[in-house]
Amino acid sequence: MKKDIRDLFKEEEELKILPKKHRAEFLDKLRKNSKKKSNTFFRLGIVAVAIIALTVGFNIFYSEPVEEISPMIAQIEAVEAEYLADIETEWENFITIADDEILISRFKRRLEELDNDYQDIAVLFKNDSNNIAVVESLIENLQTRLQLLKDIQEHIKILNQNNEQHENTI
Amino acid sequence: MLIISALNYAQSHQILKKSFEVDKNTSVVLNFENIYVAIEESTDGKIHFDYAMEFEGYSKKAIQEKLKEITAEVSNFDNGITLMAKSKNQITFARFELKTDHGLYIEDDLFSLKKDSIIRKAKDSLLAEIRYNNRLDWSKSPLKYINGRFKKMDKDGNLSNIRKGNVDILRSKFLIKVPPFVKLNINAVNAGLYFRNDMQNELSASIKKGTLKTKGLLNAYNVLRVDNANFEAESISGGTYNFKNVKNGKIGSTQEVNIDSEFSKIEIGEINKSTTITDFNSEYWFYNWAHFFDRFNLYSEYTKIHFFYPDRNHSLKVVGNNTKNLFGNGESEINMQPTRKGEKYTMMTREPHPGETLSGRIFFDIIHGIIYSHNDSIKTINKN
Repeated sequence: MKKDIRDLFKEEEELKILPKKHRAEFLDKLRKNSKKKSNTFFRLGIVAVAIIALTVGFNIFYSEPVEEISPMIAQIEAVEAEYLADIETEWENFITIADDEILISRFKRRLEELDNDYQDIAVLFKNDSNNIAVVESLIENLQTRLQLLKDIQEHIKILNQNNEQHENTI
Repeated sequence: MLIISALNYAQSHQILKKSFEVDKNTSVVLNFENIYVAIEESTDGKIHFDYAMEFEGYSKKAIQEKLKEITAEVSNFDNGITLMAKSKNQITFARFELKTDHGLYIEDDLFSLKKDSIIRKAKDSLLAEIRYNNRLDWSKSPLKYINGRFKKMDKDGNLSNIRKGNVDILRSKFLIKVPPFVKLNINAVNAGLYFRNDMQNELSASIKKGTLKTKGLLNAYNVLRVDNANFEAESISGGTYNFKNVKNGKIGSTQEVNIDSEFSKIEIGEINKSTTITDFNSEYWFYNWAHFFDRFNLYSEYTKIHFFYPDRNHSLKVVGNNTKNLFGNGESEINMQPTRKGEKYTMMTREPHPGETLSGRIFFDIIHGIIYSHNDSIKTINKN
C-alpha cells in the first residue's frame, strides 16, 4: 500500500503502517493463494493423465507435492511486502528532496547494511518461524529502515523552512 | 491427571558448568551468537560458567532437538580462556514458541512507530527505566507479554487469546561470573548481554544486533562497538564507544567518554565530566548536567538534539552552519543559515555569568542540525 509522503507529513500523528482491515486483506490473500495452488495441482493432474494415456504400460502417476505455506510465514511475507513498498516510496521521496550526495550515499549504505541484517534474520525465521523474538526482530528491522527515511525527510523539511531571522549572538 | 502433571513438568538440562582460576594476565574471550547471558562479578578469583535450560511443554524429542542446536564450549589453554556459546536459533532468557493450529494475528501496536519524548527526564527517572529493563521479571508472566503482541487466529480469522497450551516455554539460564581484574574480550552477534554489577573490568566488546544492558561500565580503557543493537547503561565512565544504529539507547550518565555515533537514538540522563560526541544523523536527548561537567563537545552533522539547558552557570558556543534552534514547542526559533560554500561560522555564543562558579563549557560544532532547546536557563541565570 503506497502512501503519499505529503499526506504523512500532514497526518504525522497517524503513523501506523497497517490499515485496520489488514487481517481481512491477509485472509483474502490466503484464500486466493490456496485457490491458485489448487488450480496448479489440477493442471498437473491433467498433464499427468495425458502422459499416462500416451505411455501405455507405464502405470506411473506423477504429481509434485504442494507445499503448504504456514499462516505465520504468509502473514510475515504480506507485512514484509507492504513495508518494502513503503520503504521504496520513502527512498524515492528522500532522494528527491535531498541535495547532499554524501548524505544520500551514507543512507544508501546504511539501508543496505540493514537489509543484510534482515536477510540474516530471515534465515533464522525460516528455521524458527514461531519464535516471537525472531518475528519481532524482523518487524523491528523493517520499522527501523522506514523510520530512518521518515526522520531524515522531516529533518530536511525543517532545515529548508524559510526563515528571515539570522542571529549570531544571543 | 498423571498425564497432565507430566506435561506441565518443566525439565531442566545443564548445558555447561565449569570454573577456572584466573589472574590479571589471563586472556578471556567470550563469543556469543543467538544466546542471552547474564554477567556478574565473582569474588573468589575464579571465572564461573553456569548454563542450564528449562523446558516447559516440550516433548522429549523436541527437547533433544533443541539441545542439539546449542553449542557451549569453554577451553582453557596457556592462561587463556575462550568460550564459544551459540545456538542455531535465537534463545532469549525466555523463549516462547507458539504452536497455534492455524495462525497468529500480530497486534497493531507492534507496528506503530513510537513518538519522540520531549519531556525532560530526571536522571533518577531514566535510571529507573534502565534498571527496570535490566531484569527478568517479565518472563514470569509470559502470557501477558505475548497477548499484548499477538492473538491466536483460527481458519476463519477469529481471534482469541493465546493460552498456556498454545505456547512452549524455554527458559535459558546462562550466568557467567568474572573477577573484576580480568580483561574481557566479547564478540556477540544477535545475542543479549546483561551485566548485573558495575563492571570495573577492561572491556573490548563488539555487539552486533541484539542487546547490551548494564549497570556501570567503569574503565578508562573500554572499547565498545555497538552496531544495530539496543544499548542501556546506568553509567559509562571512561573509554570509547562506537554506536551505529543504536535503538532505544539509554545512558544514565557519561563521564570522560568519547562517543562516535551514527543513525542512533540515545537519551543521556546526566552529562558529567569531559564528554565528547562525534555524530552523524542521530537523535540525542541531553536531559541534565552535573554540577561540574567541565567541558562537553559535540561535533555533528544532520543531528537532532533535545537540549535541556544546565541549571547552573555555564557557557555555550555553537559553530557550524545551516542549523535550526527551536525553543520550547517550536514557538520561536533561531535560523542559523547555510553559507554559500558551507564554511562554518559562530552561530551562537553565551558567556558564563561573571562572579559565579562555572559549572562547565558546552561546545557544539554542528552542520545541518536541529537543536530543540528546553528549559533555557538564560532567562533565569543571566537576568539581573
